[in-house]
Amino acid sequence: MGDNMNYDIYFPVSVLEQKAFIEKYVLTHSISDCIWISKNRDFGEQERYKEKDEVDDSLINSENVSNELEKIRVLFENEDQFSSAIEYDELLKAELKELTDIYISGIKMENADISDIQELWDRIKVLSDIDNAHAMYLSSDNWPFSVFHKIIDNISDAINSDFEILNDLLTAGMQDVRTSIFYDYSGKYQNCSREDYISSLISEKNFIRENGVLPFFTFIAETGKKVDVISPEVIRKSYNDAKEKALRSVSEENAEKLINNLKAYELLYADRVTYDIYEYYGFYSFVRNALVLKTGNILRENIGNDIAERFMYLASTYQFDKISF
Amino acid sequence: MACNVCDNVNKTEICSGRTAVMGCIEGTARIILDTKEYDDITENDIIVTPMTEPDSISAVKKSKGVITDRGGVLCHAAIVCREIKKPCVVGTKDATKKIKDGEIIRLCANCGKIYR
Repeated sequence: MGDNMNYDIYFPVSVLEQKAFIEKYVLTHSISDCIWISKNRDFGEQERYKEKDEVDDSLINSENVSNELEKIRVLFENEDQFSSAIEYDELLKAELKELTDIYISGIKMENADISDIQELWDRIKVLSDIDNAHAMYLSSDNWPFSVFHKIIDNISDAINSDFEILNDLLTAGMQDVRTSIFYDYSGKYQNCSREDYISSLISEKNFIRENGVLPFFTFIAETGKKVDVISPEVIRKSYNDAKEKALRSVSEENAEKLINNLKAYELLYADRVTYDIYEYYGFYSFVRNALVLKTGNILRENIGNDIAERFMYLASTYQFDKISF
Repeated sequence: MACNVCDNVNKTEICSGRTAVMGCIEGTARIILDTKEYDDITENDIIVTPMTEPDSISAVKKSKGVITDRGGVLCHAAIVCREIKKPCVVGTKDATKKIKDGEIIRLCANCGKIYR
């Protein structure tokens, strides 16, 4: 990932605090709960791509998403994109904090009844929509707007659309989590069953890496064959070389604007990398799946299996607007 | 944009998109609409998909390149291909409909075009 990067400045909860929470959860829950969380996260991530069109339609039509988009869009109307990026970074962190807190409150809730959990998931729906706006406009680049578009256009213009330079600049010198989990492959768990894998992680207290990736969620990477991916050092060097080349190629009057846009890009890209870790391989994924499990158990006990199963499917695939008990 | 690899090759344009990672290669198109289909990707295949999925990196690494219907230069397909150096064209809108599974195609990411 980034060289000597301090991940704590990007996460709403520090890596140490995340580790403490997970350790406590593991001590107070069964191993089958931990296995379920690991398995359900993988299932949800694959399954939501099948439901993608429906989920996307619901996002586009969500007032909460539209309002958050407008807030983000206005931020980036500023010519000074680095100042915009700083403000956006603060907005994102506040949103992630609120979202994390509500899931943790749900996990810690005692003697919850149906109306408690209905109210909880009604609030989660609103916060998740807001979070989805960031997933759309920071993380995915599948939409007409993104926090990066204007910045990339500015950088491209400054270097006369030299795509060879731009290609290396676009990495911001950082390795994406989807490749880093393969780069960090340990080789210890090839062909392991999920049960043995999770048991091993628990006995080794191997709960979280420095960059916030939870090994609970790298089962597929760790149990398959090694995939050769380019090292973070090579990505960083290519980026630094490209940056030097880009700065050498612009006039002095344009250098300041290029530097402003590169700084903005680096900050936003770091936001994106750490957002993807947190949401899909990290703590947010853990607390989300833990609360889905807890809620499913409450529903099973109080209403019935069918309702519980339907809820768990919808919550796991981000279809919160369809949840009702 | 010119491509010194395929400019003089006889070809017909199928579709176009945005260059995510440069390169010009020929291979067998594999239309991927379900995760399970990634398991069958071989070294001569070019992945053609609406969008790549998070755990498809092994298949992408094995393939010759990637074409997507959706996404921009920072979509997940683009980022993964950039980091593992595979030619990639994104945002074609309808590559999965216009390209036939199993046909030989040329992915010219230098120009952002796909040819047969």
